[in-house]
Amino acid sequence: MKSLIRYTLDHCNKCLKCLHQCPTQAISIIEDRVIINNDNCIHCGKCIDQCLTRGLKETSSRLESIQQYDFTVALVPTAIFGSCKNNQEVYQLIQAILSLGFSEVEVIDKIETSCSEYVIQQAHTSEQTIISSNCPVANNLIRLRYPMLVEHLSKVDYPSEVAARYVRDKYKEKAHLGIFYLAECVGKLALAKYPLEHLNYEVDHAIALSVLFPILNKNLKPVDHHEYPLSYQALRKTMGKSLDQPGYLNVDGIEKIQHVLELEEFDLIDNIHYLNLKTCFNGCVGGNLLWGNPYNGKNNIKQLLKQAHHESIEIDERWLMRKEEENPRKSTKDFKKRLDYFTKMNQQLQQLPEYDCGACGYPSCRIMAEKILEGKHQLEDCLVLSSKKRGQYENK
Amino acid sequence: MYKQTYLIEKDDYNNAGKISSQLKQTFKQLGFEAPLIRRMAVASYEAEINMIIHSLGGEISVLINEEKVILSFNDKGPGIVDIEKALTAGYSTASSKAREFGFGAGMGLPNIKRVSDEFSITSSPEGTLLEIGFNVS
Repeated sequence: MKSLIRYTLDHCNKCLKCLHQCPTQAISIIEDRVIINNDNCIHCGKCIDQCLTRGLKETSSRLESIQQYDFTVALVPTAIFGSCKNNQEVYQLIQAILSLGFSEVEVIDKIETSCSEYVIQQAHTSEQTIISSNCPVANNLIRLRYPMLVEHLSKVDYPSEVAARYVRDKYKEKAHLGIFYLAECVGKLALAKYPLEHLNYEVDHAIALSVLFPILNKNLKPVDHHEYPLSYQALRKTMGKSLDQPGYLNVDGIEKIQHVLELEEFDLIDNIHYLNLKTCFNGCVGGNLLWGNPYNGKNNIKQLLKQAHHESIEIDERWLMRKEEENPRKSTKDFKKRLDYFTKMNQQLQQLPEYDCGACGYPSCRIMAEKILEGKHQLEDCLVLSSKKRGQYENK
Repeated sequence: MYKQTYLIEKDDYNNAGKISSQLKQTFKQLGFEAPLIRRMAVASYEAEINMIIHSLGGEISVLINEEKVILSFNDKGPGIVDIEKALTAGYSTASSKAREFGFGAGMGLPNIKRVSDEFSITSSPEGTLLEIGFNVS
């Protein structure tokens, strides 16, 4: 899969922050440029957050794309309302989104609730722990690094996809309908046909909310006596706390997710039948494309919870399910070849300092060892080894 | 063939599971099928914990060839008095300190035997050698 994140400048200043922050070691810095390994990038956006020169950017669809369609619907996730202090401000923000030029705005809070309730129901009847993840980054991480847990992933689709099916049905008489998802985080930009040409998604375009906020801010108009209450369960879910009872575990932040998945692989998470993973701190309200910070966001959501509703929406069960499971990656080499390579690589690795300092431009000595085996580098390209060697000369 | 050895210290509860995590990482890097990794991971975890709780310390080694993964747990004593009993589910001689840490449910050896393809254990006061094998394909 192509990465959503690209490097846009000619030279990076090699601070190595992105290299060290990337949880899947997808970043290398080669000849002054940041190179992203498409196979390993899980779209968490940590590198973008860290980039001092702001050279790393996410790819987003543009608002102008709405002109390609006769009728357009904006799908709005609950997380965006972390910037609202009451239901009147929620209504105001929805009106501002409408004024961007969309034909209709569909707040997907009730659909988020339906998806969540369906997963919880599944978890109750399942013998194994169900990992609910409407967080695409957590899903990508599991597929890449925790293959043993892939079968625990819930089969319920992303709320944006379920909402798109619902909207297609609702407006089926409209010709040339365009569905736009306003994404609160980098990971969700990949859940649409564009910008990445993932043509099997129901959502047509995903647009980064960060680029819309300046326009939305200008479009905020005072509204009198209009309020828009949101779904209680969706609000809870958006701050990463789907259900807070025994047997349900909510985990937010990528370090905590890695820890819990590591333990779950050893079967050490006891008596939990529902594991709710959210990569962003404080859940989706901490999404990296939102303007506010996760602390204010969470506090606002708590306010909105007091004025929330408990209504639900009838969703066709077929719309709820994920289309097909992606095939887990399998190595094409036979085991003997893999073992030979692994042994050679470890021998090579032992010659390197294993500091994982990143000074060579690779995130770990293990990757440097691979590059040496591929003939792309020599042992002398390790700056730690070469400076130690120099030190020995000078001491003589 | 790949071989690696790790050291284990007596009563090192704070580092319990670290070697098993490294082994699990190795198994993933070698691209084994998920159910096989799971069996090997569970077995190595149980055996590592056993060694920390019950033994005076020792070594864990992994040997991987084209057909098999062999995990050896070689400790310096004091040995298992009654191996038959130790292989019975629920039987435990774990200290109260170990139980405080949540270990010592008495499922260690029976679990290891259940998930492994080959299982052998010999014990004397000088030490216990547990060897478990897993077929690669």
